Amino acid sequence: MIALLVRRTLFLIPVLLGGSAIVFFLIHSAPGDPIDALMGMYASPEAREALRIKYGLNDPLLAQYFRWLGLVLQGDWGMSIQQRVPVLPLVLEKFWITILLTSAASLFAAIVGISAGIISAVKQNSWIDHLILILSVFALSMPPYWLGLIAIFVFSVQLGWLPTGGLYSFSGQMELFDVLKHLIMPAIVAGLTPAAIIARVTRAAMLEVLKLDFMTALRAKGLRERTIVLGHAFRNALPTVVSMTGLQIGYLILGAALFVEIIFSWPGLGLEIYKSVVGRDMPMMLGLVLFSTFIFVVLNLAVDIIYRVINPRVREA
Amino acid sequence: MQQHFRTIDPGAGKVPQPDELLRVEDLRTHFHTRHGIAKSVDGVDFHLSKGEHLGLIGESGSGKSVTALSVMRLVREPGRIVGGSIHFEGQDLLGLDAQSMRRLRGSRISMIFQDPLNHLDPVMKIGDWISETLTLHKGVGRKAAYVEAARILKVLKVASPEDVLRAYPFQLSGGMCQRVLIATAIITGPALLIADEATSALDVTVQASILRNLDELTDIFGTAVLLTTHNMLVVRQACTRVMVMYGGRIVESCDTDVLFRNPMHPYTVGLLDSVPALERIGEPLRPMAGEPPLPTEDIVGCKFYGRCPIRRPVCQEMRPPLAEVESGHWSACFFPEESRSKISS
Repeated sequence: MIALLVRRTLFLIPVLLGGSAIVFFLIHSAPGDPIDALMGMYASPEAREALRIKYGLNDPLLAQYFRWLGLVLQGDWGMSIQQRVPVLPLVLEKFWITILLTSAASLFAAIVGISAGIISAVKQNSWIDHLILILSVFALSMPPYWLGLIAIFVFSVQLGWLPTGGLYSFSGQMELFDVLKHLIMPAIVAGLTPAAIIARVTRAAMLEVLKLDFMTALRAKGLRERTIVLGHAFRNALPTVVSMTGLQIGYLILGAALFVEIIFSWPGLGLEIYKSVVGRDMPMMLGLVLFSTFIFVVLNLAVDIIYRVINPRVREA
Repeated sequence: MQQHFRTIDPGAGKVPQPDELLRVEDLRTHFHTRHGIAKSVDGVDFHLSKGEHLGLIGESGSGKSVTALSVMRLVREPGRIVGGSIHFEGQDLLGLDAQSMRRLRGSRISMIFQDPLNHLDPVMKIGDWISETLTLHKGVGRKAAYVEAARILKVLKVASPEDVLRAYPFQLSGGMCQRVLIATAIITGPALLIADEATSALDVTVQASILRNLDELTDIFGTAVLLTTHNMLVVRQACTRVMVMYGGRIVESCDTDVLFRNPMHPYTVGLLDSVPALERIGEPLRPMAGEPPLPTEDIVGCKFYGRCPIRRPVCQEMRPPLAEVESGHWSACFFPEESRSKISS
């Protein structure tokens, strides 16, 4: 187990190196000039050139990459061109705000998705199974940014129940409650698609288990149906559910959360990525994307390890 | 009409014996499929005394497993018990509510299965699997249940029970898994153990030792056994009385040694003939001609008619009732005496 952990952790190094290279060259091959974004169109060519030299933008791309990589490894992620602050502390700060949203969204997705999946499987082909199918197709087909706009329109503008966005208000209410109120809508909007996917996967995995022979053996033991479904069938479906849930949480951090943060002005990594792209803030962009890659890879490793812990056939073989 | 030709239970009409444990009357379990209604169990009567070992023999699809599952009320959809009654220890099982039935399962009636590996929870340790039953029905704590489980496994001649209790099913052999299922089934001291093809998936040598194990344990607990199998030799080793099933009906019922000595139904004769035997070495095997009828076929008369070597027109028109041919020997054939002579000649 420990050997595996070490092996898999070492394996992260080439993955992250490859990821960093892809991120770096991709961003540099994108059109747009950070100098233009920073100085506007009326700056003199000399001033532009001076700034280009200052940021090393005239060097060959490969040299720029290795210089950047060297600095990144030393913990120097550069300065944000737009905000004039070091990238790394800013990324870490934004990371925790995103984690808050992602955790809430994941929790929602896992609870709703897994419960719906189990109910669907146990009541296969009943009206509730069909209803869950319809709801999950709806959740899968609605883009989160559209759903977010509709939710804001209904719950904030029309009903006035929830704030339209942001992390907290300045009215000086009880803080935790205030943050929760801001959290609930973006978390549900971000979690809806993963919830639907988790529900589908859980249903399929449960049906697979429920048709196995040992279900009859469990009933022959005199166990309650609830024990059979939750204690045995779900326990067997768990490895599949966990690996899919883990993947979904990864996508949440990088994907859905990005759109949702923009719609709800949630000041996390996603909103920051958006701002850095619009502002051609290359060091910021690089830092944000590299960090997100890192999180995604680590999360996958965690899922792999959990998968082993809960699946004796993989663990003991 | 139907009522008139109902099978007669061996022992029906008699006063219930004081040691009677299980009485099944006119049991009908049908499967409603797209191709029609499959009458897998089509009017079965039998009884079982306390501690008795009763064999239920038949080929695949004869309805023996469905009969076994019906007694447990564990027939899966689209199967349903549509008629008859099952009395166990004086209670009408078909009239019980789900909860009372569940309390009987695993405590008063247990079941073991063919293909033991697939009847264990793949991600549950053996020790937890066995003690789960004991905890459920007897309220025994986990630790005490483990001790009891180890004790039972020891009786089953398991060399290192502690290791087995710590293992997962996929780490054990088929024979060991079956011992685990037996231990789980018997640990609560049930009055009836239903063994559905319990040895069919095992090596012949393992088969014999499992059957011996089963014998010993059920003797200790005074447990009756209903054993379904397609293997004549298993019945011979494990059962005192045997019923032959064909097309969802019981066609012959008698003591095991009588069945081998003096079969009274052409189907039984065919079955016995198709068993390879030492005294017929060098002779070609004698498989039975033809196929059993489809369970969805609507047959008025004898279900064996299509394959019967001694059939007469009457067999197609009327269903031969299970009648007592000689004391304790029941046959559902209009011409039981001819069965043996006609075929062996």
